[in-house]
Amino acid sequence: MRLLEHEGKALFAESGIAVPGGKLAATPAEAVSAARDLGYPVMLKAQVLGDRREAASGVVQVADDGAATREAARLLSSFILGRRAETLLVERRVTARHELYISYFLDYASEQLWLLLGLSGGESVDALPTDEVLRVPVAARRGPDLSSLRRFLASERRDELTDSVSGLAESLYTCVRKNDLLLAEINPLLVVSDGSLVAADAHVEVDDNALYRQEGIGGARAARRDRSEREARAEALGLNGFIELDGDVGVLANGAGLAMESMDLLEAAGLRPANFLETGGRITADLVRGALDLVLDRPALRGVLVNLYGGINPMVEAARGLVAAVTERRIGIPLVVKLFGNEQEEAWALLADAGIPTARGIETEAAVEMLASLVGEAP
Amino acid sequence: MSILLTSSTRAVVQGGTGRIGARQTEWMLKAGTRLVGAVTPGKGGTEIHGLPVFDSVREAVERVRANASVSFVPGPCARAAAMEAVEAGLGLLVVIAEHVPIYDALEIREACRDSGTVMIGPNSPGIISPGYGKLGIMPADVFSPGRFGVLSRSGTLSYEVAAILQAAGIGITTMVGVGGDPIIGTDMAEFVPWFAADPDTEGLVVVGEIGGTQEERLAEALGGSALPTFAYMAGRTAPPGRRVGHAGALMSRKQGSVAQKTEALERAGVRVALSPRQLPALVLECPALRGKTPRCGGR
Repeated sequence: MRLLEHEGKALFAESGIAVPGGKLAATPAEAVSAARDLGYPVMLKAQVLGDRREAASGVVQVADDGAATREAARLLSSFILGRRAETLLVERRVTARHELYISYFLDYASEQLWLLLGLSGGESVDALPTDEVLRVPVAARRGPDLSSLRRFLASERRDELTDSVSGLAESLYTCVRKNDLLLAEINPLLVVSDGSLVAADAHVEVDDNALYRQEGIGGARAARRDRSEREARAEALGLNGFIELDGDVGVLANGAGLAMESMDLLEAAGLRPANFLETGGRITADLVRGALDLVLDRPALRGVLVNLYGGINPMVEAARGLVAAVTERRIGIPLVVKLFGNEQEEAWALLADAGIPTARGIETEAAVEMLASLVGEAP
Repeated sequence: MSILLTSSTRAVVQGGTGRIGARQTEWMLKAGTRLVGAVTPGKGGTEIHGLPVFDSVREAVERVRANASVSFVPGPCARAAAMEAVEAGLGLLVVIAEHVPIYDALEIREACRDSGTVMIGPNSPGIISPGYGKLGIMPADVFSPGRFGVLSRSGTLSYEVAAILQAAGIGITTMVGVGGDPIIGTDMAEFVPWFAADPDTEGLVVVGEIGGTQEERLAEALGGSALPTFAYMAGRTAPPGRRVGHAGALMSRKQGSVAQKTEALERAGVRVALSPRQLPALVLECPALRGKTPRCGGR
């Protein structure tokens, strides 16, 4: 789960990393009051998720009440990076002698945690010259190897940064581990006149699997902004995965691989998936019924493909859930079920009694072809 | 023969007395697995499905010479259970739990590498070697003994693939579900040398998906092996930038697509199928296997 800048900075501050003085504002009047408290000039920063807020005019500097009112009204009413900001972070402007880049991030390609240090900040780290970026793999049990950081700064003739940057790298690692952060990026990291370091921005992502032990981040979870209303409903139902797509054929499967295969084969047959849905490991009639309801709650759907494999899961439960949802909603679009494995015969009988078309082969194509012809016939 | 789960495997079930663990223990026994006990702290001295229950893995090692574990301990406690298995010196650890915090998985992986323990998972359906049983949650009935190794990143999709192979008369030596998480103990490439060294494994079937670079590393590992390999990968239509069910199934705009993985695998000589249904024909047509017997040993 991604956190907003001010949520990330709160975590940094708890771990002893300096951040600019700032206050949250939800209205232009609050922004003006915060700006007066902090003292002009201040930065107004739209609190939306995304990587390029400056380029999207989501961050501005203002020097008086008039500009603060006008810009706060604009930031709170426009879409920035596709999202509307609920709050602004009003921040004291910090003058930097120099800007750096630092991050810890868990890289899925190399399956490693990395510490990255760049000698200039502001830009995306990918845009920095490779010889100006230090990349160090981090062993989770030992933490970062700061000797390589010292050697790097010495070779770049930036020894004056060694103590402050080493200290910050340690504090940030503490923050990463304490809060289960998959990404903790400070860009830019400001070097101010006395040589100390200030985190001017915060890009933070928390491991969803660890949220149970991160009570402090619970508020952010309740307000998670990185998903749609239906995606939030899917989480409340206990589904393992649900993503809105832009097609018009619903998908319900158990297992991420099976759901992706279903989407791929629909597309190959000229049908476009409207969603990805993976129920997760434990099938019950209620879960499947709720999942199908969720899939069907979408306008202009033309059909639904259900693809289930009962390794150990009771397929009769799944069939009961499907029959309940279909009967209750009296759906008018074609729905085809492919269901295999544990209790398949009993499940097929239940589906047949309810008049639900069922492909009884192991290959998903059979169900996709059946659905394609039904969708083709539909008015 | 098979790999990792073989005639010398003596496994305990960690969390084997819980509701799910107990049911799975029963299914593993039915599949012919040599289980030597279960481990649940505080329940030592009791029995589950005729197996002795121990308070610790170490006790199971001392009393019944356990050398492997399959763990059903849920995500929040998975790390502690895994560390116990590593410290007791087990050679194989299968972590079934999903939702294991990523830093816990990293620490388990580091400990396993230090001690030489082979770790499968987390978020894995487990490992099955027909003839020797299974340490995991997959349905045993779609896996017949034969001559192909199977490596998969997913659960139910690999069962579908196994059922399709079985219907075509293609059996397996060992199937490993490597796990759907971004940090897993052992990735697909690392299994290649084991399969290559197994005299009964004549080829590999790979069930991949979007995200990460496992398939690319597998392609590199295959370059040096003589194993004919066939692959299907899911997620051609998955949206970039979103985790598609599996935490590891995350494709960025630059990397992790099925197209990139297909290119890497095909360059290494792997035949890539567009759907699981195409796999049996590719396997049975393969010139390298002509004259050999890729069919089920047990049928």
